[in-house]
Amino acid sequence: MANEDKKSFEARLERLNEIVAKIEGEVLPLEQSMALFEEGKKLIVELQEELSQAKLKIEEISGEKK
Amino acid sequence: MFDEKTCISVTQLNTAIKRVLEGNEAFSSIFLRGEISNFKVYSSGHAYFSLKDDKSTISAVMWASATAYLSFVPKDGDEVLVHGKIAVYPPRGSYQISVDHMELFGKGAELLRLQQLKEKLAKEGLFDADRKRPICPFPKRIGVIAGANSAGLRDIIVNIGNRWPLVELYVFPSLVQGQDAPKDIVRAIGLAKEKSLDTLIIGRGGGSSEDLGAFNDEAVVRAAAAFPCPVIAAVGHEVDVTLIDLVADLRVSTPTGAAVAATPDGQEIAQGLDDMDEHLSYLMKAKIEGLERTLGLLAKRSYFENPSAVYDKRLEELSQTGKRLDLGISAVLARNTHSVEALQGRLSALNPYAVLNRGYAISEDEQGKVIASAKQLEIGQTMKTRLADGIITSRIEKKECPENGK
Repeated sequence: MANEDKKSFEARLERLNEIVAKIEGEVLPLEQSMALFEEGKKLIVELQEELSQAKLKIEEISGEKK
Repeated sequence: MFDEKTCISVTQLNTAIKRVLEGNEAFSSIFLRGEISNFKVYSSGHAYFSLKDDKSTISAVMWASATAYLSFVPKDGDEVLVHGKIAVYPPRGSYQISVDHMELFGKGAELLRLQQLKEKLAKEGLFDADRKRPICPFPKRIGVIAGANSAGLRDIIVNIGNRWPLVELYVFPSLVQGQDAPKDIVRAIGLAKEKSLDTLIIGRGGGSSEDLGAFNDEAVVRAAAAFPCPVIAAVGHEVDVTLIDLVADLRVSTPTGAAVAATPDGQEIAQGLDDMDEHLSYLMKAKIEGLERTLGLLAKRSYFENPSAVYDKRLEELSQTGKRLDLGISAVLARNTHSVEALQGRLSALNPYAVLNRGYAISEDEQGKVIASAKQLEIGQTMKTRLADGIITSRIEKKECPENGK
């Protein structure tokens, strides 16, 4: 994820839901399930951190420059 | 001068006048300003009064169906604005204004103007339900137009910060009441347009609840309607719906409500992530346990419980086969031995040495070459003679060749 543009919070949350659904599907081979599981765990940690560390950015725009 | 035949009755005249006046479009929808006098409401609910200015008077009637919607209690001396049409009452030969809507002048005028604007914009489809866009569920950039340093603005900022701090908030301070407010709000909307926002909140942020005029201003309403992303109007009051409420994609009644509508609940999502974490672990554990169980069942199969059973059977089979092989081979051997003996008998019949048994002999020279002619031999040479039971060597002492020899 170094130079790669991070996907939006929403997109990753969606991916997470997809992963859970896939593992719930139960038809995957163990190896693949494990890979998905790892990915899911990583996403959860990532999203939780982002959420807890985020700080509102506020910009005031009065446009009073003429 | 008078012709009895061309003269008409009073009723005919009044009816004709009624037809002319009531048929005239100019009289069918009138906004009229005047002062109330002789106001009287009957038990039927109908109200009869006069409207006057300093020079003239007109009778007025307001039927019960209209008085039911009066927003104030009219009394003599009230300056009012009414909407109605001219009606003629033939039995009396009088005309009057039949009022369907009446407001106190001042406030009333504003309300009537508002009513007209509302109808106009509605006709253009600006309030249509199918124009409403859904609010972005995970916004990245939210704009807020509200009174500078107002309590409402603070409410919005604090609540968004608490709920969903993963957002960039752009605040566009604006006047929200007074004469200059509409222009200022339009200016703020213009500034907001330059940021590619996901959601725009137009709030009021305190101020007098009496003065919602700016949010009913046509230019403001049109600017909000044309805004490129969904707009949440947080101007309002439950009672007074402003035009911007109608045109917005979503209408809320408080600044906090706006923050809630504009952002997902971060705490709920964090909780959801925790749940998902647990669920994921559970799923994986269940999966592995399932596999372990399957493995356990397999291990209990006879193959694994008593592995020799697998090859014991094979060994048995193998030894059976071996036995059959032995039997087979000896049969083959017996058969073949037999044949070999027979063949030997037949072969020996062809053996040249066998002839020797009958008293013949074979002679060979020193090189072992069979001697078939006397010419092969010279006097003094030795030769070997093979008999049935031995070999003798002899020296040639004499050689006789018949006439055909040399």
